[in-house]
Amino acid sequence: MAQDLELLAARAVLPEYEFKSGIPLMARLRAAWYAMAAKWAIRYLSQCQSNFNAAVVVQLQTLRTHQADANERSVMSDQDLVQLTRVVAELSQQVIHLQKTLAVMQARIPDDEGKSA
Amino acid sequence: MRNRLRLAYFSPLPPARTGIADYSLVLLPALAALADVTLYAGASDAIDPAIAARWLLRPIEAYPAQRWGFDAALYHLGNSYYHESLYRTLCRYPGVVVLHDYSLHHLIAARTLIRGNVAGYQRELMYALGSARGWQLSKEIRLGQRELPLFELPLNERVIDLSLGLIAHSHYVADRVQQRRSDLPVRVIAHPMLTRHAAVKRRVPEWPDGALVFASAGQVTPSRQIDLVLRAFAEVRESCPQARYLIVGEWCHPDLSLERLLHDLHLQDVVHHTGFVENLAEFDDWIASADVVVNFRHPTVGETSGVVLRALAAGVPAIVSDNGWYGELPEACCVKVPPQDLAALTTAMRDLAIDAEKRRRLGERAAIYAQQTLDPGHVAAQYIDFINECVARWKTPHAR
Repeated sequence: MAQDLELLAARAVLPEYEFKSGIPLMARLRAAWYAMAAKWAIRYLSQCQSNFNAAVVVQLQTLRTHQADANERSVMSDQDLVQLTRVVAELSQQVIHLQKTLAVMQARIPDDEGKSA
Repeated sequence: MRNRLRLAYFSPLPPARTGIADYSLVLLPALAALADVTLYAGASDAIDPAIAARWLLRPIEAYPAQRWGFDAALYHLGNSYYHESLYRTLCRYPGVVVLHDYSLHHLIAARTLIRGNVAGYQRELMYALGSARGWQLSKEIRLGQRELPLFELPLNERVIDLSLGLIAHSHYVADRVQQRRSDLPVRVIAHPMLTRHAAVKRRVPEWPDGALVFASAGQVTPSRQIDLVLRAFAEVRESCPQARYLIVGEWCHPDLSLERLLHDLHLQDVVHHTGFVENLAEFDDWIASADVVVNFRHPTVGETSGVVLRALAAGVPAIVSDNGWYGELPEACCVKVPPQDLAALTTAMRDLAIDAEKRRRLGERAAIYAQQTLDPGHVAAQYIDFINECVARWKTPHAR
């Protein structure tokens, strides 16, 4: 995940388009026309997009940190739950044993003694 | 005070196609002679009517309310989906666990991934490996970047952490469990097996009377290495043409065609496959009819082989892979071969094929071992002894 985010961060900034052509001077002509007709508008839009991309990457990095933290807490809660479940099971066994002991003791108490009590 | 233990007993039961169901069938009468046993089964578990008629059988959903009436819950846990309902109950109401297989990964995958519950599988990976590694691994699996690590990760950590006591069939499993939780009471108790004195000899009609029969039994999964075994058998046939091979059990090897393998090895006429055998007595008869049983397992996930024990109890010599539980069998009653070693397996099979006296001697010792160690009454007594030890431990508030 961390590698994926690094890759995204590296690609967040849009590079300016560079005209190329096999025909002599064609690329220069197109670049000159582009500079006159659209360069500043497109540069503005590219900047906006790059800013937005960078903000998304930062958000994803934050979410990743939160998720890792949540995962960590989830595992810890899970481990606590397992341990508590085991403790409750052991306590339940003690209750069962005490109930048995109590039943034996009650059986030993004579009837009339039970009444007077 | 009552001295007999009151046990809530959770296990797959026949006709579930798992050796643990058969295991319970053998253990239950002996255990019931020493304790009051109540069986619990899931609503969707089909139970043989004969079992329902003989034993006190209750729905597993009723256990939470009834659990106060038992001294202990005994969970028979293995690595298949047949254990789903009891696994769920165990996670909520832990007790003494009989860990039949060290790895539970197939069970965990079946109850999560197979049902589309990716988060559930991820949770188990994170529990076992920690959050970062578990999350990363689950992501790679989800994206198809790697296979399920079915044999690399046992995913038994939750069960070990929950258990109030644990019974294993081998030191291989017991030692690994104690590495995880040294405070857990663990006992190694042998797998019980009935010695049958009146097995019906079964034979393949097309085979000659003097055929020397090697056999493999049980589900034929990739880990049974049947291709390796049949390659060894093909070599043995060169010096022992009367040898035949019997495969008893369901074919569960999706990547291998038996027909194709037999064709490639020119074994079509000397290998017989019965398919799944519904009746356990018939299954036993097939095993008892063999001269030698070959049971390989690689990789092993610490499982116990009911088939090998059935062979030993029937006095049939066995050739097994020298790993996991198999490696702990006494040398006197079986031949152990390094897993995946074709030459060693061929030699072992050939030795037994040509030496009737050796077969007889091994078989005799196997039967004695079975009578002395695998007797269900003896095994049940060890169960009761261990559960009593656990109960005594739970009575003490300092047990934790």
